[in-house]
Amino acid sequence: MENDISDETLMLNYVAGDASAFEVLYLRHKGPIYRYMLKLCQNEAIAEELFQEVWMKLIKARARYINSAKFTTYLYKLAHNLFIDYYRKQNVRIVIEQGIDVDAVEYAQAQANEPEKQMQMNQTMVQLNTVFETLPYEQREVFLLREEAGMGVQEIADTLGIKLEAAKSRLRYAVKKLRSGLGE
Amino acid sequence: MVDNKNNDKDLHDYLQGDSDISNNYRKSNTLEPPAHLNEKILLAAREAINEPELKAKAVFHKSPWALPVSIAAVISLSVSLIVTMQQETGQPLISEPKPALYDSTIILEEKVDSKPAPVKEGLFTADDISAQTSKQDALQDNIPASASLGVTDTYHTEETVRQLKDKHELSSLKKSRSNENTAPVISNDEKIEKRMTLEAAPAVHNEVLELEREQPFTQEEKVLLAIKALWHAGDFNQARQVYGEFIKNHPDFNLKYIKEILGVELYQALNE
Repeated sequence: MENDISDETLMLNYVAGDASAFEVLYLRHKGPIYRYMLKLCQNEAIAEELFQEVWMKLIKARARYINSAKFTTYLYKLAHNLFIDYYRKQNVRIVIEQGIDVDAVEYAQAQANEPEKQMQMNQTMVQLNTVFETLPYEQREVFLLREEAGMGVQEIADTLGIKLEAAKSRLRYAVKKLRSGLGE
Repeated sequence: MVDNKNNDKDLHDYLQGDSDISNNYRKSNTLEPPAHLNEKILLAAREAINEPELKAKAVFHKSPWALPVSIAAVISLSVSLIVTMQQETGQPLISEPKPALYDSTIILEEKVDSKPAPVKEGLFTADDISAQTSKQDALQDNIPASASLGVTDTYHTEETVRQLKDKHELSSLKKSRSNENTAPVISNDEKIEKRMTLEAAPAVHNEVLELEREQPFTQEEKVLLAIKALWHAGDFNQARQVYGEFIKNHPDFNLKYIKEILGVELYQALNE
C-alpha cells in the first residue's frame, strides 16, 4: 500500500506533519543516494557525512518543498550541490592525466583488493567497477543518476542544470568507455 | 559519421535499461548506509515535526482569523498615521469651518457730487472690492489702491467676499483730529454705491494669512486682529474696550508689533 504512494505525495504528507511518510521516503531512496555519494566522492567517510547532510537539509527545508518538480530531481539536486560545495571548500585537486583520475584509480584498486568483495563479484563486475572509478566525475555522475536514480536524460539535464545535449554527450562517453573496458 | 551513429546506437541500447552494463553494475553495487546513520536521520525527521515554531507557523497559516486581524492592523495603523500627521502639522487634515469673528456688512457710501474723504491706508484694499456701481471711477479716486489689513499688505477680499449683502449701514465716518471719537472715514452719506459683505471675511482672511506665514497666529495676535475686525465693523467702543484690556494684560507687548498688526491709523485712533 505504501509503495503505491508517489514520492511527491509522501513528501507533502511529511510537510503536513506525517513522520511515517518521511520514513517510507527514506527507506525508498537511502540506498541509491548513499551509493551515489560513495561513487562520486570515492571516500567512505566523506560520503557518509554528505549523505547525512542531504537528508538533514531535506528535513529542514521541507516547508519550502514545492510540488512543481519531481521529488527525485529535488533530492538529487540537493545531493549534487552538496558534493560540489564540499569539494570546492576542500580545494581538492583532481589530477587528470590522460583522462585518468589518479585518486579514482587508487580507490578502485583498494576496492578490488578486498577479498570478500572479489568473491561476490565476477571478473566482469570487477572490471566494470574498476573502469567506472576511472571515469571523470562528470561522466560518473550522469551514469549514477541513470543507474541509481533511474532518471531519463532530460531529468539528468534538469538535475545538473545542464543542456540536454550535454547530458547525452556525457552519458554517451561514459557508456563507450565502460563498453571498451569490458572488451565489448 | 559511422562512429557517431554507432555511439548513438550504443546510447540508445543502453537507455533501454537491460544492457550488460546496467545489469552488471546493479549486481555489483548493493551497498547500504550504516544503521547508525538511518537512526540518526529518522530521529531528526520526527523531532523536526514536533518543533513548536513550525507548529505555530502552521497554526497561523491555518487560522481563520489571520486575514481579519491583518485588515484590522492595517486600518489601525492608517488611523494612527493620520492622527500623527495632524498633530505634526498643527492643522486638521480635515478642515473644520471656522466661525466668523463677527457678522457684519461694510457698506461703502459715496457722495456723487462731493469728493469723499480719502480712505486711509491700513483698512482695506480697493482692488478687492467688487464694484457694481456706475461711479466706479469716483470710487477708484477715493479709495486708495492699496491698504493693509492685517499683517500683510493685501486684504484678500477676492478670496473672502462671497456676495454683496445689505446688513449694516455705516452711516458716516469722519476723520477727525479732535478728542472726539475718531475713526478713519471710509464712506459718506450718499447713495450706497456698493456694498460689501464681510461675513466670514476676517476669519477666512486670518486663515489665509496664517497659511501665508506658514505658522498659526498666537493668542495675542488673534486678539489684535479681532480688535481690528471690531473697528472695521463699526463697533468702536467694543474695539477700544478689548484693546484696553489687551494693553493692561500685556504691558510689555512689543508696541511696534501692535502697530504692525493694527495699522498705524487704527493704533493712533485707539490710543487717543
